[in-house]
Amino acid sequence: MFRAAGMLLFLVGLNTAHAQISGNATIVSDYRYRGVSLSQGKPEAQVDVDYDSSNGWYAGMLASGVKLGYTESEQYVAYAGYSGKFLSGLNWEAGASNVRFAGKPEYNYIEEFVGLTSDHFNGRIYFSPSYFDQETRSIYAELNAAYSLQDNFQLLAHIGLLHYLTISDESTSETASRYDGRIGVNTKVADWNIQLAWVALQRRSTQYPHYDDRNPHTVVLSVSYSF
Amino acid sequence: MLAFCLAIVNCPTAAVKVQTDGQSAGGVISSENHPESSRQLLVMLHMASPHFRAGSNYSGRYADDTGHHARRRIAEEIAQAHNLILVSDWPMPTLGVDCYVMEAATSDSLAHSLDMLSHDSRVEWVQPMSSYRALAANTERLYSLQPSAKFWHLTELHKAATGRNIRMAIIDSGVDENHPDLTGQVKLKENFIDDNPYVSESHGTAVAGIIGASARNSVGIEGIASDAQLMALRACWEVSEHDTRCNSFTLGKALNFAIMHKAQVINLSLTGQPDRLMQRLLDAALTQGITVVAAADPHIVDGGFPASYPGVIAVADEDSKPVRAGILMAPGRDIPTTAPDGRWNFVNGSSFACAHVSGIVALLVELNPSLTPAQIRQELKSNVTPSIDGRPAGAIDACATISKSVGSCVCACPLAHAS
Repeated sequence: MFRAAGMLLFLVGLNTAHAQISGNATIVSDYRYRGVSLSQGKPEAQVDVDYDSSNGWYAGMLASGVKLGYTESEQYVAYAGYSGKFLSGLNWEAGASNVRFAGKPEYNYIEEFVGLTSDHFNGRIYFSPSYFDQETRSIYAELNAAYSLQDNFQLLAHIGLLHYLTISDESTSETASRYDGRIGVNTKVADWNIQLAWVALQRRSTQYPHYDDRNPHTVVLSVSYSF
Repeated sequence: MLAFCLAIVNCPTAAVKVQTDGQSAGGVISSENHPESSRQLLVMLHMASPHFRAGSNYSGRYADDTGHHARRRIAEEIAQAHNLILVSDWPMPTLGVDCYVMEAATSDSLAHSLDMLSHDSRVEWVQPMSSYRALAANTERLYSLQPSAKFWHLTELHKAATGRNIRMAIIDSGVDENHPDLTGQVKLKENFIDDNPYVSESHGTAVAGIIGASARNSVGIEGIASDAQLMALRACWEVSEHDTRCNSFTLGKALNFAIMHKAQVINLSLTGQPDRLMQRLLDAALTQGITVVAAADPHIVDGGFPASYPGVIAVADEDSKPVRAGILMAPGRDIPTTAPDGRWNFVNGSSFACAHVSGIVALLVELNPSLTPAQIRQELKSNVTPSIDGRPAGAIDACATISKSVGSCVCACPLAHAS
């Protein structure tokens, strides 16, 4: 974890002539990933670094603490893609991510995604051949919106749908799809971002081996420092 | 992990002399700085398109502006390397750049910095700050009829169209939205000059009245597009009663805002030097089908910038000496209009001719929303008056223009048919 974090910090220091490198150090009260807690409802720390070239290519990495079942671990997400702009001003992107869990290789997976982004909305569709080692192909679709309430205050909303394209033998059709949602406010003070959000996950018997379904919704506070 | 995060947070940032009000994005030019624009330059840094960031959906920001910190760092490095003061910055997503205002100690060092930065690979482009002024002559208290009522038969025009729900951006000095003739007409206002409260000023209030004064309050005047939704974007400030100034940074911010808020018509009653930032934003507006109307300076052969820019509808006061072919002529003398503090006044100048044409453009857009800026310009150009009723030849014939758009005569029919 520290080795990865050190590498991220090294990347920040590079800041080559044409590229722009930025990052965030974040503490979340509960690391909810697509509605599912990856921290058993406990606080976690995260660092992410993002690299933007001047020609539309981008890449980045996230390092986060996670708790899978009773095991503490780290999650690393490496991603890369290309973002372009239509004449209408709408942006499009295509990319892929590689998600790894230290000591839990069975949960590793890759995803490919495409998306559209406007000033206030973005939507993406992700495809994974084996999401969280379910050995089933899955699609996750999400729509995000941001609305400025006043200076430095934004209202945020998110809805996502995870859908398994193939169902494993022990699963039922009830587990084929799952919605998650999020609504919150974000404020920015100098280099700090503070976000308070209500996160909900559709209650279903779950396919996530590590997931505790007792808290399908919760309030999450996150504090980020941008650098 | 927690310790690591805290270590990052506590890292000291590079020491650089930065003159700001404490805001990183959305900073302002302080009121004492904007007259000093002759030593300022605009440095544009590439803004990456918004894209996926791991973790940002769930632990950080939906509105991904963290790249701004990287650009801010680069701007600080540039300012330090070239002995410039970083004054302010503003994101221009319309153009895909962050715009940084930097100030040199002297005019000589400004020229050197411009040359050096034009070869810096981190910089998208660099340019000097341009100055602009409103095209208003001294106001006079004259008691005459509203020219648009007499020559443009406004009451009859309004039976065909009133500019209903057309989003009209007035990029000017401050508008008195509480004026009895403007109450409820201004749907949105923003101050792009400084952090101080929005103020009402003469030029902006006069332009807003000509375009959008209420037609249903039985007081004062009637706007050409009395049902338009006015965006009062304060990008100019009054130096004195008859001297209204702007610069490319404040105008750029307002233009960017107007484009992002889907304005359909932009009124620019001002003139100055050609400017790359302004040109790029005008291109973006025209590409998105926004009609831009600008006042032409009768003392400059081509009308001055932005009136001279291709695609922009240039308008001069019809009583001024014609400057070049292609510049439209509209009423600009003895125009009764709104003034701050609930007053009315008579105004003169191409600024107000420009406002007349912006109003008529709003009517055309209401009648036919699919018209492109080029088609609107052609419609206006093809319906001009002969020399009649004391008006010079070549002035816009509003009745003929609107009648043609409606498909039947709406006013002054014999004149419309004769033209």
